[in-house]
Amino acid sequence: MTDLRLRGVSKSFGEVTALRDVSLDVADGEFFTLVGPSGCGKTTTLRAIAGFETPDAGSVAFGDREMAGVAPEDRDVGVVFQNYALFPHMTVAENVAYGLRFREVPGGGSREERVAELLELVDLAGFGDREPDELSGGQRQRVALARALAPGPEVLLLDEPMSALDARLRQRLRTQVRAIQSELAITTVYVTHDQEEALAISDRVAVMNGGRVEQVGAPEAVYRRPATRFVAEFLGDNNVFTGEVDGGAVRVGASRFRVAGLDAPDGAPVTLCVRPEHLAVGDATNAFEATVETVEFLGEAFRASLDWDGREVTLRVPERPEARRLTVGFEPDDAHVVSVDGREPAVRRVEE
Amino acid sequence: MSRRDGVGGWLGRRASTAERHALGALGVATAAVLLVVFYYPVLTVFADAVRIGDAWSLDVVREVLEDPFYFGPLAAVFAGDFGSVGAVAADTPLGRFGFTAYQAALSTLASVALGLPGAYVLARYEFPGRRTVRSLTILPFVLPSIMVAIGFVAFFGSAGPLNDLLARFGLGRVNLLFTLEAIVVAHAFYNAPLVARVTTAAWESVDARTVETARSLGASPRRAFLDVLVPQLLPAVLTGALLTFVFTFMSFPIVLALGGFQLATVEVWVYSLVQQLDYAEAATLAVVETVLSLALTYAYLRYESSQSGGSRAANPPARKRLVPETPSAGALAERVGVAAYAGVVAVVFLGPLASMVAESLTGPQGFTLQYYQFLLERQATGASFQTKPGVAVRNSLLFGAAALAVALPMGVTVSVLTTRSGRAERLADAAAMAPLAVSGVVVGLGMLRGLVFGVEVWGHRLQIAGPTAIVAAHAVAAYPFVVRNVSPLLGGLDRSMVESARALGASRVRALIDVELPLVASGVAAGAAFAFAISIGEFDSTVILATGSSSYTMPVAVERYIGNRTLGPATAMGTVLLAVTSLSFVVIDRLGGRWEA
Repeated sequence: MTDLRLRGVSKSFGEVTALRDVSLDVADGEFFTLVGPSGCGKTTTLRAIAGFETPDAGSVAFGDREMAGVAPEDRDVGVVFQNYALFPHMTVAENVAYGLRFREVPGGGSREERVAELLELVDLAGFGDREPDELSGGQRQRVALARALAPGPEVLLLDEPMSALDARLRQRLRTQVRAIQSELAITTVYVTHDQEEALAISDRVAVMNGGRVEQVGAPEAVYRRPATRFVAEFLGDNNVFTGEVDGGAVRVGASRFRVAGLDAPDGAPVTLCVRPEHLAVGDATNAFEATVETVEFLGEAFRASLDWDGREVTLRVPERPEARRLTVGFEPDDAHVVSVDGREPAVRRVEE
Repeated sequence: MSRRDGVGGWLGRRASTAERHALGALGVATAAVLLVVFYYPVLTVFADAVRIGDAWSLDVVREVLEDPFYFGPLAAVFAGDFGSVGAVAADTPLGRFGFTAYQAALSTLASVALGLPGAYVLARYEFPGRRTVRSLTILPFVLPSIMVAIGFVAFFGSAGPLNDLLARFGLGRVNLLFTLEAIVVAHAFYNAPLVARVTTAAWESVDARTVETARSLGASPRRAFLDVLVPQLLPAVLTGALLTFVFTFMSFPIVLALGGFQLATVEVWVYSLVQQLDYAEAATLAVVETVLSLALTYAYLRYESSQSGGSRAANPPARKRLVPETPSAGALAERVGVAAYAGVVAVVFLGPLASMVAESLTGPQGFTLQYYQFLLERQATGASFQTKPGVAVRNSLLFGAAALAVALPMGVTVSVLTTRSGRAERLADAAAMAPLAVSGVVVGLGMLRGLVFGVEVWGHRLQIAGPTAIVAAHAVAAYPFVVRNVSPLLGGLDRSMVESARALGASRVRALIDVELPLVASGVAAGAAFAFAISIGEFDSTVILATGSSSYTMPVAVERYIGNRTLGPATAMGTVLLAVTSLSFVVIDRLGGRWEA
């Protein structure tokens, strides 16, 4: 079993703290994604797993093997970088075969067979004699993946592998990567800043911000029940309201909202969020009146920006709102409390 | 155990312990070589300055500092005798140090004046051979300075081509030999191409859109040039000027040959003191000079690093054609200026080398091969104490190859260890680059006084032979050029390239051999050719270490052949040296070397 365990990992670069007390568990064969804005520490976390960075504190373990002091070449990781990092002076086949110079060929066949097998796996059979600069971006990325997988690593690490590609190709390739990962059942850590990508392909995601892990969970759970205001706003659009508890409801401005499962004393300040797609035009259990500022057509829906007494509210509706002033409502089940008394649990695991 | 261990994990060819530590070991070896053949000799010189017999003393230092011959009016200030400053200033306004700085400043001005138009032409014009000319700007670095000096002696001499040229235009004869002007012009020969090269590079990296934006905001072409372009070029010009000042402050063979002891700089004076065996005073002068040149180099490095603020979007303005598409008075005037500049360049840069070759073929009765015949005869029948050309050629090639064999691994190791560096590595980088800032005369003197004369180490007498010392000095002088050729390429490599190799199981050294070195091969090749050429041309330390021995090289032979009434043998030897040097330049060029040293 190759599960991956990070405990209390911290790392600073000079004055800049990149990681603060990061603890994570990745299960054997799991597709685990680190997502967050640039500078959040996701890449540093990946590099600490690969052995390219030495943590200032904390530990990294693969199964029961502690990784402290183990050089990158001794960790049995496969790494794919954003810019492919193919060796330009080697052919595609030589690139894929490079790792086999140092390790036994998995399955016991010849190197040539292994290279052919891997190129087949990434749909590049027959490309072995090409030079890397004869390939398109997507093909190069698949060669990089084949090269990383060829020695049969225990852990696959992908550092923003798609971000240099255009949107359509990215979608196709991520489906392919996920399929290959499932087929090999290899423990995988994927780093991306693209929240949509993270939600689309992961078994679980860890949302990072400012060198900390804000929340770990399955995509739906993290999306529906964000643990912090940051997570609520980072994953998709969200409307965040601050108010205070008043007789079992939350008072925001002049309105009182009923919220499912609210558990806080009267007077406590509360932050809650409602997804734009959960707001509807018309009366509901919770409702308020707001002014339409702008409307954008998104294809499958409309996105309206409203002004509610100085608060910005985003609404996602199937029909273009015609009136300038709208009554907007939502049900108690669709509101989610992210903090009470200004305290957010540092890491709240939400498992479904 | 992982289920993948069986297939992928622990059975493979893991790196051996030796391989794991190979890079560290190379680093230690490089540091050790530097310590023994550079830092130890320099410290020997420092110690010589403050020791009389076995006792520590600052007497010699004080004597030198308070001697108006060296420091002019500053000496009176150092002596605390403020009353006599005026009198001393009237008597010796500059002193040796003042004169050295003065000629360096003039040389810098001349180099900038000669180099900037060149940068303009190279950056703004498109013409056949532009790339060749651009890469030729590196040539001075590989030209042996003593050979250039001989060229200028031939060129400036009263019967030389310069005076012939002036006479043809009906202008009077000038005697430039043993004048400050000669030194300044020869220094410009060396350093104007440097100024031109760094400025051209900056110009080519200017984003034309910045100028276009200024124009669209209402700036005239002249204003846009002054407000937008000049500020982007100024750092490069200053870098070139500062470097020129450092080089000309320490310049040795040019001043020795063109100025003689009457116009001696500190460096030449140190040499003359060594010749008179006055080591204490020589050492003291060398120490003061080294402190000054290190300070200047430090200033240069600080300035350079403060300027290298990330690579800009290179989108240079389109180049002009030599034949203007729309003829106008302004365009015509500019082309005339370019043509005149080309003429000056031809005279200054081709004149000395052509004169040297011509002089070697010209006897009292016109064309002759007698000087080459003299070289052959000397080789065949010369006495053992005489300088034989064949021995010089053989020594030069042997020392060059040996210096290369030492400098190349050293340079590559320093490059690898200091690229992408933290603070500690930057310090190591500076320490490793110090040889650039310390004159060859000082290194030579230190080696002579230390390892060549012999030192006691734990009761054993440690002594190295002259040739070994020469190779060591050459290697120390040459390896920074390997670093300067390899480091930028190495730094430009994506680090994920090496990291990919390591994640795939390669040790650090294997990743270097399999991935990095093949990708920076052109830089390594250029660095190697450079190192070889530097060794072939090295004069400053060789002339000291080869004194009275048969381990002289071609440049030393050139110098020994001067002094006779005719320039013939010296220019003939210089021509042989030119041929060998040109050959190594051709090799560099064929290997596609980079010229951003």
